[in-house]
Amino acid sequence: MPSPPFPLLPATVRSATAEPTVETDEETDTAADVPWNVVVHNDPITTMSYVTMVFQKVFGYARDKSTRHMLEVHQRGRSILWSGVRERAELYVEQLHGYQLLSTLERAL
Amino acid sequence: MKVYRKGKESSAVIFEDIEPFFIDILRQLPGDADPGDHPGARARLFSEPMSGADDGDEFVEDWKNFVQPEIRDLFLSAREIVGGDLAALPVSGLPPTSGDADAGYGELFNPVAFIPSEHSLTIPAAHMEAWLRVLNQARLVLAARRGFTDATMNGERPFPPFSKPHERDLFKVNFYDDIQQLLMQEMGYG
Repeated sequence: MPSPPFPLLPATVRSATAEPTVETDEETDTAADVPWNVVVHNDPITTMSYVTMVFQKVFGYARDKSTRHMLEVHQRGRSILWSGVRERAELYVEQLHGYQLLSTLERAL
Repeated sequence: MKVYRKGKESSAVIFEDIEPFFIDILRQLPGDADPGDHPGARARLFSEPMSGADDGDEFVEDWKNFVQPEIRDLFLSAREIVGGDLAALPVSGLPPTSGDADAGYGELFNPVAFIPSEHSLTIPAAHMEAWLRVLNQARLVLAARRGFTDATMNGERPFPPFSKPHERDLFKVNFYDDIQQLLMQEMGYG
């Protein structure tokens, strides 16, 4: 995966490295269904501000949290945006594809 | 070119006094966002939905049959909305400065001068979402067609006059980003 993924990363956020963040749907985490991850992958063309906006719109995350995930994609090549039941994970991936983000469904380990 | 919003947050964004050169570029936006039959552009817009699972073949097949057509419709609908807004803009009247080296893929437009026109573009608040999608889509399609990479995006930003289609398209990718940033700011995401 090439780096950096987003072309216009401001210096103010460049140093904000964080441990991987996994969002879990607590209501469904104990369900019999095996959890699935919604993963967003690195993309060198899509701007970081657009990615952050999409995370806010699709997941309803606050701007800070969305920025953390965006930076994780930038620095690690991918970020798990959400974990939970498969049907909802599929819906999220569909929405993310609608915004042209590289996103996949992945069985949680 | 001036950009402002009339009154409240729910109102339209207006681009005023648009230079003919930018009118030409903007009018090409819906076409730029269309992947056509380009394999790389199609692969980028309709990417794989699953990773790391060894039992995903049926899911991926269903995705291609049922979900991707919906996404295609979404993209098409957004392009139509943007095309409708752009229809109010006149053809600039600027002649293309030279033939494109890529047959069938547009002309090289270069500005004679950056003189503001009297023409304006109005983007209703309800259309901004479609504009954001189409601007991003156009950037991805152009990048896929031209093979732009990290290095390209982090390299020197070309400005007109252009001598190659590659330069013109890299300029467009950056220009569309500028418009996208403006709209996101207006929507409170900047």
